[in-house]
Amino acid sequence: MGAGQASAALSELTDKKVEVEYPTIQELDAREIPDEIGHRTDKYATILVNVEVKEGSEKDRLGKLLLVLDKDSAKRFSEYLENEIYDTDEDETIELTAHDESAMKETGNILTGACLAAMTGWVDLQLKEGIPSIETDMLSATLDHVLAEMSQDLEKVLFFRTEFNFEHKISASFLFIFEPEGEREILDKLEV
Amino acid sequence: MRKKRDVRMGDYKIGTDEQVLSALGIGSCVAVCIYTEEKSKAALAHVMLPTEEGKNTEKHAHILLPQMLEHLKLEDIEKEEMKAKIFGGATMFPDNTIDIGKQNVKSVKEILGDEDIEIQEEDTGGAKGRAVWLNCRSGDVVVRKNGEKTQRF
Repeated sequence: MGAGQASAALSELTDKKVEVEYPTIQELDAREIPDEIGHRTDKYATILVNVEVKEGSEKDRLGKLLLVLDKDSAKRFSEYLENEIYDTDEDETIELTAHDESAMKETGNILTGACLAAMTGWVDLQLKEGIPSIETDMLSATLDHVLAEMSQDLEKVLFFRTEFNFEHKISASFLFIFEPEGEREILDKLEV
Repeated sequence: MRKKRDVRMGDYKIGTDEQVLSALGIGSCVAVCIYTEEKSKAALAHVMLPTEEGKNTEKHAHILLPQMLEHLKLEDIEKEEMKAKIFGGATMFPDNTIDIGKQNVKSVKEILGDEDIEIQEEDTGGAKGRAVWLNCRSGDVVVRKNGEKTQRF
């Protein structure tokens, strides 16, 4: 579901070979999602993009797309994007410059675009992406309000996940979490 | 008995003596610590969502907090002995979504206010995640914000 396209886009962007794991779709209690990705208090950079379905003048929230990188991967990823080498110190925090952040947001845009192009063909829906935002903080802290907001009406959330690896140095989780209404819409289209 | 116990989103735990209760990696969530000065017993609730009429899951403040306070009363702690410290309610991704953090803090304060439980310390709001540890014997709380030194409350 767009993971192939997204990895091709990443590969082109960084001029490196990108390995992509076979994507999975899971239904989980939203509260368990941070543990699926990594350690809850470790620092991660998360790029968030909202995705809407557009039908005529009607807009519906479909879900949220998240690209999650641990702190070392985030630093190395900005290096690749800019072809510059930064000092990677042992500091606990992720110091991303405004320039790094904008490069990563742009990556969020490119990935979402690639993923949405694939999904549009697949489910025959008009999809529209929001403006990406980035947050670097403890994993669980970054995700808790996204998950809180999305699990208000549901015990479990449906999410799609894959892992990207660049030359064994950078690993990233790529998640698409469906909004409750988005989940219904997608399942209807697939006639499940 | 395990010494360190972590409290997940939408859950609460009660601890005694040397036990430490924690809420690790909270953003918009609020950690509500209730302790007493005499009894070496304390509780921590990890509130995920604000009070909302018609929504009746433990993720919501108006369901979770009364459950915890009721449980503490069964553990022989009177409401008059309870003191509170609250942490969290940050605004993550400020430009993208509704501010659940602020709403969570407001709901928690309303509920504690209605119960006449005094808030002794708080560190809420801002834009950084927090890790919170509560010492059940003393009621002392250690908070570490993303990229900062730990603080005691």
